[in-house]
Amino acid sequence: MLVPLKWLKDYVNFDNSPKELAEALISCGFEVENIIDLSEKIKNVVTCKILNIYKHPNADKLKICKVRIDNNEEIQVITAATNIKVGNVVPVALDGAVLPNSKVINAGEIRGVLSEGMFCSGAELGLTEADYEGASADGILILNKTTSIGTDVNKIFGFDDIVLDIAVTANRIDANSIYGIAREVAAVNGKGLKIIVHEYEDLYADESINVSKYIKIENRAPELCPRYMAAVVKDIVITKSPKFIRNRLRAVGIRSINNIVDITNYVLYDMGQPMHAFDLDKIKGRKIIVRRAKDGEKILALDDKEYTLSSNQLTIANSEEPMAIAGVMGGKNYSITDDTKTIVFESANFKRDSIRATSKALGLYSDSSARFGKGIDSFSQRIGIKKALDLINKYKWGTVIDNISDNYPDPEDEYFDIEYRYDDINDILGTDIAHVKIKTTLNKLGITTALKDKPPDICVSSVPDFRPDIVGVNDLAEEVIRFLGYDEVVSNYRAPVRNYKASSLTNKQKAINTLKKELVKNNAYEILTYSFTTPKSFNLLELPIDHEFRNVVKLLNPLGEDFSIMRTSLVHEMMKSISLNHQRNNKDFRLFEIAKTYTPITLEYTAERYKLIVGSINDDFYAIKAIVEDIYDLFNVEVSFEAHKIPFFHPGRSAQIKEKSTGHIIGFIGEISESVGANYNINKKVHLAEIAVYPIIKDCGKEFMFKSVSKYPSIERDLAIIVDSNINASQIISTVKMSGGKYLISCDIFDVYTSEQIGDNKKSIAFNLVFQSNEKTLTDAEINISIDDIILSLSKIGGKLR
Amino acid sequence: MYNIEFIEEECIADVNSCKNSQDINAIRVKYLGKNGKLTTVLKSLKDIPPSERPEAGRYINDARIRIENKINTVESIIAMSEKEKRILEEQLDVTLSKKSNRQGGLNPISIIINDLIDIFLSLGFGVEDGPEIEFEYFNFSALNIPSDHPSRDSSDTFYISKNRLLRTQTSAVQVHVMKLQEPPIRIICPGKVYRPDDDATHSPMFHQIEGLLIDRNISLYDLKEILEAFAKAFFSPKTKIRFRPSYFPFTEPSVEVDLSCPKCGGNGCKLCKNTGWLELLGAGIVHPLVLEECNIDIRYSGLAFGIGVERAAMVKFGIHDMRLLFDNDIRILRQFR
Repeated sequence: MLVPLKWLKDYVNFDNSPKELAEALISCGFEVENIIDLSEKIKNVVTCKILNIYKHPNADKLKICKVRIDNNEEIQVITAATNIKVGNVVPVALDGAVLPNSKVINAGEIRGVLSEGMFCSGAELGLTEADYEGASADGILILNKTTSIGTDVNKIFGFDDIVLDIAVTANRIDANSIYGIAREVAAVNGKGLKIIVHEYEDLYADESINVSKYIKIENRAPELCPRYMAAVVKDIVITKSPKFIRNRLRAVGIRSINNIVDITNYVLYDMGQPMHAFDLDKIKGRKIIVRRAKDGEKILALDDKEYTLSSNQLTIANSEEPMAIAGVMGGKNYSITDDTKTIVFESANFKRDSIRATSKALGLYSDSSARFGKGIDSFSQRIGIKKALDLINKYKWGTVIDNISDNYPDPEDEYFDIEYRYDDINDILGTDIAHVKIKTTLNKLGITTALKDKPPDICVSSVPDFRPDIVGVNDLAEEVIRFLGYDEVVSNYRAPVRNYKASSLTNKQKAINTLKKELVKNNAYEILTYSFTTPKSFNLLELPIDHEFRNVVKLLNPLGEDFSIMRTSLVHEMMKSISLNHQRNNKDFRLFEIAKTYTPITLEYTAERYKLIVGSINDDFYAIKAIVEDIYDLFNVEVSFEAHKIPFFHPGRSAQIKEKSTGHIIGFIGEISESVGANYNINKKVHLAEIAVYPIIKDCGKEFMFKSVSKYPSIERDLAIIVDSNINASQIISTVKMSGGKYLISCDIFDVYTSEQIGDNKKSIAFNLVFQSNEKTLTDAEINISIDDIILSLSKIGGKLR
Repeated sequence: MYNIEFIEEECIADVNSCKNSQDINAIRVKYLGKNGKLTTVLKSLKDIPPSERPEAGRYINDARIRIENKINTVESIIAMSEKEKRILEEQLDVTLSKKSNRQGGLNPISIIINDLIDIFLSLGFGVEDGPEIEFEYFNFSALNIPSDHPSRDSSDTFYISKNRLLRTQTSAVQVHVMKLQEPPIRIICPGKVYRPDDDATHSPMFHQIEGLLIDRNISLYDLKEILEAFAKAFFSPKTKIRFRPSYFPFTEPSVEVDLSCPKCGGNGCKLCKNTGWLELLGAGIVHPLVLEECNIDIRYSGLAFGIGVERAAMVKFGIHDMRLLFDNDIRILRQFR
C-alpha cells in the first residue's frame, strides 16, 4: 500500500518525520517496506526567468542567456534551444544538479564562455504531458508565466512528497486506504485524526427527487454482493482532473484518464473503496441487475479484450447484457467517454473469494480486483460514494441527483460489543497493565471502552464496523499491546507453576535417527527431494502399464507436469540425484533418503509410508546388500532375499526382500538395467535398494529379556562342498541349519568358487560352522555326528564334499 | 686347562666379529649348544680324576658364565641396533593418506531439525508427526481460516480434490494433537509442507516446525520465555528476540519474532539490511475459536509458534539461495557433516 504523506495529511495532523512515522507504524504492526522520496530523482533544478539572450561569440548555434534564479541572483546559461524567448520561465539545472536519468550537470565553459547551468526539456526531467502541459514538446519546457522564480521544480511538478510503502496484514482490511492508515497514525500519536464531513450526509433523508427515476437497481446475487450503492450525476463535464489529484494518483502509480475515471481511482486509494462509473445513457432498460453470468456469456472489457464468462462469476448487467465483470473490470461499451452526459457511480461490496476466482479464471487483474480480493468492510461503500459525490460537487463537474440508492439486504451493526474483565487482557499478555491504560488505549483506536459493573469488574468495548477483525478479548489484547509495545511483556510477571514433564523422543523416532546414523557410517549422504514427481518417471523406469507405482495421487493445480503427482517410490528422485552428481563429475558416492511415499487407498484416504532408499554408483551388489543386511540385523528384523525380476533392474541382479515373520515383501534391491541407466544419462553401474521403514522400526523399544552367554568353549569346523550352480546360498544355509543339530549356533559362507576343475555348472561353497553348548564342553564325537548329518542333507540337494 | 682359555679367547674373538642376531645365535650354538665346544669340555669332566673335578668344574663353569655374559651383552646390543634399524625402515610418511570409506553425512535440513528437536526436548516438548495430505478441515477450517481467505486459493495451496490438499503448514498437526490428547499439551511437530512458490527464497516443498503449548494461564510472557530460550540455544547465548505485531488467523494476539542479527550482533550489516534484526518466525496465543473447535477445556489457554527450517538453515549457515538446500550435490552436502 503506497501512502503519500501529503495525502495522509488530509485526514491526520502529525509532526513525525517520515522515518519516525515509519518506525511508529512498524511498532504497531504495519511493516514499512520502503520510504520513497519522490524528489530524489531531480536535484538542484529550479525555475528561472530569462532576462536577456545574446549570441555566443564562438558558435553560431549557441546562445548566451542571462537568467534570474532569485531576487538577488542572476546567472549565465548557454543553450542551443530555439524555442525560448526573453521573459520565459524555464527550469534550469544548476551546478551539481541531478536529472532523473542520473545525469549530473556541472558548470563549465562552452566554447570559451562560462555556462552556470543547463535549461531542461520536459523529457530531460522525466515528465509527460500528464505531469505538465507542454512537457512533451520539443525544446526547453516553457513553464507557466506566473510560476515563481527560484523554486525547486519538484514543487512545481508535485514531486515534493514522501511515499511510504506499507505492508498491510490480511486481517486489516480497513487499513488498505489513506484514511485507514490515517486512523492508525492518529492512534499511534494519540491525536490528530480529522473528522470527515460529507456534504452528502443528509441525502438519505431527502425523498423529494428519487434516483429511481433514472435507474432501477436489482440485486439477484446478494451472496456474492452483500451491498450495492449507486448514485446518479447528470450534466457531467468531462475534463482533466486538478493537479493535486493527478499528482497523487501518479504517486501511487495510477495514470490519470479524465476527471470521472480519476475520481473512481482516487476514492479507491482515499477511502479503500473501489468505484465504477457507467454511462447511464448507454444502459439498456435503465436497469442495473447484479447477477451471475450465464455460462458462455461474453463481454468486451475496457482492455479491448473479449471475455467469456461462467455462472460462478458475477456481472453487473442491464436488462440485456453484462456491462461489467463485477469488481474486476468494466465493459468497453458502457464506459465514460468525452460525450458522456449522465453517469451512475457504483460503490459496492463483492465477496473477495469470488473476485479472486474470477480474476484468476479470466487472467484479468486490476487495482479494483486486487482491492476487492483482499476483502472490504461494508462501511467503505458509504464513505466511498460520498467522497466521490463531494468531489463532483466541489469542482462542479455535474449535478448530483438526490438519494443514493443503497441495496443492503442484510445490514451489519455499526458497533459490536465485547464484554470481558480488564484482567483477561493482562492474563493473555502476561502483563500488569493498569486498567485505565487499557481503557485509554482502546479508546484512542475508536473502540469505546467503559466499565459496566463495578464488581465483578465487567467492562464493555464497542468495536466499530470498520474493524471486523476484532471479535473477542484476544483481539482487544492485541490492540492494547501493539500500541503499548511488547516491552510491556516483562519478566516481573508472576509466571504460574507449570506441569513440566521429562520429555524424550519415542522409540520409533529414535530408531529413525539410528537408521540415518547407520547409513552415514556407511558412507552415504542424505539427499532431500520433492514429494511430487513427474508421470514421465514411469517411462524412464520402464514400468509396465499396470505397475503398482503408477497408481498415484494427482494434484489438481501442480506447478507444471514435472511436479504433478505424489510419488509412490523414491527411485526416480534417487536416479535423478545420482545422475546429477555423475554429470558433475562427482565419483564413487552413495546417497540415501528417508521420505514418505503416497499410495491412494480410497478416494478419501492415502497411505503415507516412510521408505528408505540407498543408492550408489560404481559399487557392487553385495556392498549395497551388506548395508541393507546390517540395517535389518541392527533392528533384529529377519528377512530373506529372493531373486525377483523388477522392471528397472538387471533381470539377473535383483531381489525382493521378504520379512520372515509376516511373509510380506518389504523392499527390493538390485542393479539398475543398462537401458534405464541410459534413460538417466548414467553409463556406470548403479545399485539401489528401497525398503519400507515401518517393518524396521515397528518393534523398537519392545522390552526384551537378557540371555546369558555360554561359559563353555565353542568349536569351529570348516566345510567345502560342490553343488550345482543354480543352488543358491540361502538354500545351502537353511539346509545346514535344519540338519546341524541343537549345538550348531552359526553357519557363514566365506567362499564361493568356480573353475574348470570343479566342472561346468558347478560351484564350490565353503562355510564355517560354530558349535556350542550352554551345559558342557562339546566332544569331537558329538560334533562329528552333526557334521555327518549336515553332509547327508546336503547330498540330498546334490552337494558333494570336496 | 689351556683348552678352556683357548676356547674362551676364540669365542670372544667370534663374538666381537659378529654382525647380526643370526651370527650371535650361531656362536651360542657353537660354544654353548648341545655339542658346543664348552659343553663338550664340560662333558669331558667325567674323564678327570674325581679329586680334581670340583676345581676343574668351577674353573669351566666360571668360563661358561663369562662366555654367556659376553654373548648376552653383545646379543642385546645387536638386538637394540637391529630394532632401531627396523623402526627406521618402517617409518611412514604420515602426511600421506589412503582413500578409505569416509563417513557420509546428514542433509543440512535434517541437521537443523535435529538441533531444534534437541532444544525443544530439553524444554519439555514431545515430538509429533502428522499426515502431509490433509483434509481442508485440519489445514484451514479448524484453524479459524475463513472460507474466503486468500491462503485457500489454488495459487497458494496444492489441492488433491475439493476438500483434500497438501498441508500448507504444520499447524494442521496442532488440530490432530488437541483432538486426541488432554491438556497440558507440550509438543513440536517437524515436517514437510507445500505451497505453490518457486524462487530463490521459496521452494514448493519446505519444512516447518510447529510448536504448541496448552496449559493453564498461558500468556505472551510464556511465549517470550520459550522462544528466547530457543534462540539463545540455537544461535548464541547473546541472542535477543523482539516481538512485532502480526496476523495469523489461528493465533490472537499474533506476533512476528525477530532475532538480533547473529552476524553483526545487532549493530547492522548487509545480512540484516542494517536493521540489526532478522525475521525469524511467527507465533502467538492460540485463538480461542481454535481451542473451542478442538474441544479444549475452557480453563486452558495456549501458545503456538512456527519455525521455518530452511529459513533457520539459511541464517545459520549463511545460504542465500534456498534452492541450494534441494540441490543434492555431494560437494554441497559434504560441507554440513
